Amino acid sequence: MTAGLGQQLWLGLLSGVVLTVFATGLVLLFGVMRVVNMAHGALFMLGAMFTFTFQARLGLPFALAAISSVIGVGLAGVVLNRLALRPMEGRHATRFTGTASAALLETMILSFVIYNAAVLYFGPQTRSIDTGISGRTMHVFGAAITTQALTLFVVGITSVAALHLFFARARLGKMMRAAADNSTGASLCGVDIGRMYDYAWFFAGSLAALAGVLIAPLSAALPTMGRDTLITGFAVVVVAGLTSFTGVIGVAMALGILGALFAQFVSVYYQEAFIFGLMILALLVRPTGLFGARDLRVT
Amino acid sequence: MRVTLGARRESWLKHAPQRGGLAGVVGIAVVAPHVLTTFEYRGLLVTTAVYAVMALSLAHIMGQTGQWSFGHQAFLGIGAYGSALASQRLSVPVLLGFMIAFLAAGLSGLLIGYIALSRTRGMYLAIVTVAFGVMLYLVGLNWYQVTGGPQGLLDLSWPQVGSLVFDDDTSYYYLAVGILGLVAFLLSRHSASRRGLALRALRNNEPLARSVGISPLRYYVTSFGLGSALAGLAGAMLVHYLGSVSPAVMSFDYLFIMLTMVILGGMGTVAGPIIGAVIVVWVPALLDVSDSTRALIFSLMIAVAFPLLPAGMYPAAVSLGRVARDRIRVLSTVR
Repeated sequence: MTAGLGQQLWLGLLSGVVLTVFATGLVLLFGVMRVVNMAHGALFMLGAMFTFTFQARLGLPFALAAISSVIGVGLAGVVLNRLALRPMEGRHATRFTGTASAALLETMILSFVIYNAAVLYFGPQTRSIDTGISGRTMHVFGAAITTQALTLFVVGITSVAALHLFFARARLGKMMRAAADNSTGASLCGVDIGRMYDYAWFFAGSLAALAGVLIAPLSAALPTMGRDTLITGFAVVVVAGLTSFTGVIGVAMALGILGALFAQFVSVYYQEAFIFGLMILALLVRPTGLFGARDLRVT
Repeated sequence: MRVTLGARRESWLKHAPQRGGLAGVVGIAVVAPHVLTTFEYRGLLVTTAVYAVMALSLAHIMGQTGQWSFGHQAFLGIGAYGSALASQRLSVPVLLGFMIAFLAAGLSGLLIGYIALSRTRGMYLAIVTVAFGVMLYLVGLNWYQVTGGPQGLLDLSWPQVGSLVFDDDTSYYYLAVGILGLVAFLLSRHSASRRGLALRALRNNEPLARSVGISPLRYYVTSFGLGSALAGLAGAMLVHYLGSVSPAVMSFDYLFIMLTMVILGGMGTVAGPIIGAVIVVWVPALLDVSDSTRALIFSLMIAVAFPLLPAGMYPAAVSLGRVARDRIRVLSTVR
């Protein structure tokens, strides 16, 4: 890997985009349902692994495999919600206070199930995904930008932009925002909250899977991936504010770039520790996040 | 018409089943290594005792205070490495190393607990504890001058008291069970004490408890410290049995094991986590499946058990027992 500021910035931008897609899913789910999805990393892993399986076992071209994987994981998210979380709605986790905590522990357990099943089903080996996108590598400011990486980058950015446009303009998007803001009021206006929850899970699952699809060709796909990404995603969401949909973009890109710079110029081993440290610092200094609501009322 | 036997006799009768049960369990624990004479089974007995201490440590935090500790495996590691380093680098006797592990993990627990619990609750606390766990794992993996990197530290010595060396399964088992018994006894005394009462008041309704003058931070942090200290003790017990310590002791695998024990067995009692440990150690041994299959089975078990039996199997069994006893009583009084 050629050292150099340009290259690191490009890598930072790439990981920033992946992180943005991932964190948007987290914040979406939290905004609409007040659920902290500890299984988000597992869904991220499934996105990458299913893409590999569709490509290798079924012989699908990369784009088709990726799209099927993203939609499939989105649907899996809906199923998870209905099977595992719906029966526990409004329940406290054992003797803890706070209705959201049962969901938190349950999603954590689900992530264990998914990871264990994935290791058994896919096998523990690392896989590589070939996108079949080739072309000239551009050199801009000392960064080697392959066409593959550029394509993935553009796909990531477009997806996030499309999602924001969806929430701003589309009727379903507005309904979901209404459900997130005030579920009682929205349901009084005729919004089916249960369906909004389904849609939220579909989008969140798809976003997690998309993030996995974007990163896998650039690094690797293995059935244990996503654990650290989950915490980094939480770092983004926590620093930006759990209720800030737009804030995550800026924070994710910033963390991506800062992380890459730290890895290159300070220490590559402690890169994650650095990001988590930033997150803990942010939590201590401003628990509601940079862009979040003032009120810390989320137990 | 019911004959009264006098208050003392009646209280004895009422508690007899519990006391009998306890005596039975202690009896089994004492006799076990001589009954299960296969080499593997005796090793499993030691593992059960150590895992039970682990489970009790996590159950103390999550059950008594109602707070998350998803980085608990880090304290396992602090105790493990602390004891290993003390006995290897400073030539400290291993049993003293256990106490050092307890103290080191406890102090870190107090520090981390204070930092985390003074600012965060609920999901933020969950996220912070997870992050802390991963951070410590990375430190253990990379700080090889102190921790020995990925291989860790090898050739740890056995605990000994004078000329009595606990170097085989049976003697180590008795040591571990002794420590477990002590921990269980102290925790049950704690639970019945005023402090335990205050903790449960906080857990059930924090604002109400505060209004009566119970300071959440003080109680949460000290219990977090105690739970972490016990985890450190368990970590030391574990690695001196295995003979080596590596960053694996701070991996998510152990968090998963501890959560499984605590969710399956129940976190509100002292017996629950111990039962959880028995299940986690013995079910896969008797099933004889691969590691990954076992992990999948356990995760499915807790995925089902958590919604259905939120308090764990031990309380469920106890209430089942009560229902059965009441039914029998009703049936026997019907003429």
